[in-house]
Amino acid sequence: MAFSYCKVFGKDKVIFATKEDHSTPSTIELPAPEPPQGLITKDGNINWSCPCLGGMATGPCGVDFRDAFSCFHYSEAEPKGSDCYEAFRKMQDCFQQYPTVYNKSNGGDDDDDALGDVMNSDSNTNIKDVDELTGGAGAAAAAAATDTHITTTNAVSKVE
Amino acid sequence: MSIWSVRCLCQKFCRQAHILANRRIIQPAHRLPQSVYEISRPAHNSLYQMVKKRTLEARSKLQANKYPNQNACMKVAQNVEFIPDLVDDVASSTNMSNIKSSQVNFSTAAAAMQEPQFRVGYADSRPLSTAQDVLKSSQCEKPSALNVDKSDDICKDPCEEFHRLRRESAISRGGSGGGGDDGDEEKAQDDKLRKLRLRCIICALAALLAGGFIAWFWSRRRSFDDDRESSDDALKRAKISGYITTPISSDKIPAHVPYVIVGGGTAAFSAFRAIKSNDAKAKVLMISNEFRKPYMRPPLSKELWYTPNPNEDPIKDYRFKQWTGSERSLYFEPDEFFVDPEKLSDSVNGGISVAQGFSVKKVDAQKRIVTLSDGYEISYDMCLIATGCSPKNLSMFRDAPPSVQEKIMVYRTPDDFDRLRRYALQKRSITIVGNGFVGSELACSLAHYSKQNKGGKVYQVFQENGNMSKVLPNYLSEWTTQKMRDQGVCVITEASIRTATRDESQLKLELNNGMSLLTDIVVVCVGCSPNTAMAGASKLEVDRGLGGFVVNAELEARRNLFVAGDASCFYDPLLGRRRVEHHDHSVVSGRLAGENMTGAKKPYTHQSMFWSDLGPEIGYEGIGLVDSSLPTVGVFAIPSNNEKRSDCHTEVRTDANAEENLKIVSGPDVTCNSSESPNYGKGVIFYLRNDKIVGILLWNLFNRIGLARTIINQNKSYEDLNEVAKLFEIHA
Repeated sequence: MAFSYCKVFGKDKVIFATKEDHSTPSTIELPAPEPPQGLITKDGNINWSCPCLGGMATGPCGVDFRDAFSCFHYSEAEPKGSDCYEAFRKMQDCFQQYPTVYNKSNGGDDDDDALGDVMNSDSNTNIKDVDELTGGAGAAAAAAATDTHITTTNAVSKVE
Repeated sequence: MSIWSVRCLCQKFCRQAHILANRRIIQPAHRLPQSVYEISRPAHNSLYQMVKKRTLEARSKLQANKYPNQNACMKVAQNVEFIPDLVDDVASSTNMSNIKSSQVNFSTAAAAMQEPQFRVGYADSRPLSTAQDVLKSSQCEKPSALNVDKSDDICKDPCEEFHRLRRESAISRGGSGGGGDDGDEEKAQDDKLRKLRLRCIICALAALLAGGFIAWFWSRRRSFDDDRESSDDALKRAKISGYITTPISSDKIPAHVPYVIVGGGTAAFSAFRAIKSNDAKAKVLMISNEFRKPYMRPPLSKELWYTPNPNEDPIKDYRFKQWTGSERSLYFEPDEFFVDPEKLSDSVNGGISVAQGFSVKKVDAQKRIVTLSDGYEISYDMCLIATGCSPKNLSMFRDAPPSVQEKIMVYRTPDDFDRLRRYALQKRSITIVGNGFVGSELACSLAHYSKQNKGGKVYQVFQENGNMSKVLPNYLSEWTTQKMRDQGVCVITEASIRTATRDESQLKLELNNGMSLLTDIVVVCVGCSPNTAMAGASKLEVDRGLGGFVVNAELEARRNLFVAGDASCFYDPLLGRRRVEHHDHSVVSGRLAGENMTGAKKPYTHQSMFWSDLGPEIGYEGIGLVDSSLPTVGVFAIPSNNEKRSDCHTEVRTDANAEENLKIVSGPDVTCNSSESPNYGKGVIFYLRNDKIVGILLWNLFNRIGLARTIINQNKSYEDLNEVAKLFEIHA
């Protein structure tokens, strides 16, 4: 029954489009959107501005976090990150000084704490979240974050 | 000296007592040292993500049964509103006469309208169409002179009768125009009146005494409670309520800080994040004239009203439920996140401190010195001005006597939220003035809240003929207004307030269309003006038309001095000079300023977006110049035949599940008829300037703002916008 039709209210035009009308592909071609920068830049460095870090790099333990994460990222030891025990312990110690800042993920999973969530939980859903947060390049970030997760848990278990 | 003067005196007392009683409950607005205030609407990243991911389906499910589509102004009052709340002494000011009159109205209304469903939910149905009706309806809600328990019972009836008689006699006197020869009758009536007056005075006095006693007792109990509070809490409370600045005096603030941010809102915090990301050990000082740590504002008019919270007052940390179901606080970060300003200079790893309760009078860009209002000077390497804007008030309210002013508020801070929530909780009637983002969102949220709370009317008054008229094209604006009415907001369009007068407990608003409204509180939501008070002393340029500090495309006002957020009038290389008041703009411009303060030298290229929700049926996101004065082309989805049929089916089924059989009959009709009048359920609207797409509004379409941004960045004109619309998959 339905056909697409138009209405005009002065300067404002309105088109009512049927599903059928819109089922053909658009003739407009757009350039592919530039993928937002992920956690790791093209030249292999860490992008501390990545929203996927969820404020980890800017918090009160930001410096310790950077040390630990950089150590891990650039580690050539086998297994990767096994030479970062000291840095991770320092980071964990710092975390414990700020329980309200770094334990938030227990209750609410703030998007702010995307990485914190990834690091503290085992569910895959959070990793997906990170993926969405960072768009196309998010996969790398998510992968990196998962790695961190494993390392952190390792580090934690070592500490304990 | 007649009995009249005694009565006047008595009334004065009553009023005083009432005001006092109200004061106990409704705290005065917090004092803010002048200028700095923050951005209102828009979006913090996480919130933005939140909106992005939402689907219309998820929401429409939520509300489908909750919102019967009836005219707001038709239904209005519910039973509960007329029953004095015994728990809350202020709420009890609704008097017996209300019950009476509502009962009368009820029977007549019920008789008049044969539709049984009206009887179920609503005790009273009054069309708002005529001025008299409004007046009548408001009059019968007029509370008695004083609230308070038992004494009321004796007092109510005579007072009411007295008022009625007085009104009648006034009318008859006015009618006969000073004839006044009906000696005996008048005498008898006078006697009667005098008796009534006497009774009323006695009642009022008794009520006053009782009220005073209760107030005294209450305050005693409160102060006793306060004493038990730990001193920590007390200190925290004092800090928030503006009695103590942090640090305690300005000389405790370091004399030199590498990064100084004037303002403590979203743009300021976003800038801090960017600075710290690029300079790991950066020391950042925020100077805020608020007494709180940085927080986001969008939930103040939305989520916070939808979060079912216990009777906490105020809500701890202003926690609210996000669309995902998880909770978070309004504050960006907990207190622990911040460094004590006194320790900032010595901190090894840097961090952020907030000097709370201080305002800045001058920034010297040449000497790189920020001067506080008390003269204290802080030198900086890089400085950001993010002072935001302050809500405007109407001059007629600004110049009004104090008794009127105490019933007028603006809406921008958590304190405003607390205050308004107390009114809403007491089922008071609330009038919102203005049709913009804050006003419209708040009206929807309040309507929802009052539905949950089973009482409290919400009026929205503005001059334009529809909600969001500056953003939405006229047809959509009017459609939206209708949707808001369906949700329970009594929207009064094309009206402005001529006068506001005060009686014992309420405010009477005379509108220019002849209507009168009695209301307990007026919330003025008529936009805000950027805080640029320091521009003169700082020798900075303010844009004459748009307001705000003039900055270049890198958000730089002078060397090493940047401006972001609401207060920034920046040059957008794509769309020209602009000033934007949205949350996401604060996030985006704050971030850009922060990056440039650490040496990025980037121009404004990432278009910020905005979003808004008007109840569960309407949610939209926009990007670019979304300005209704531009020509627009809207493309809306017609649901296909099959879909529509199935829609009706499900409708019937869900209704069948509902308790009442009556609705089944009306169910399918309601939904199927919608095809006759245009249905702007879902679509995309293009805003054109010189035939180029400069703005895009996504109407009930989510997760497509990136695409919209790409199209705006093309800065092109298109032959067939329907083809562009196809990219948005509006039928998905």
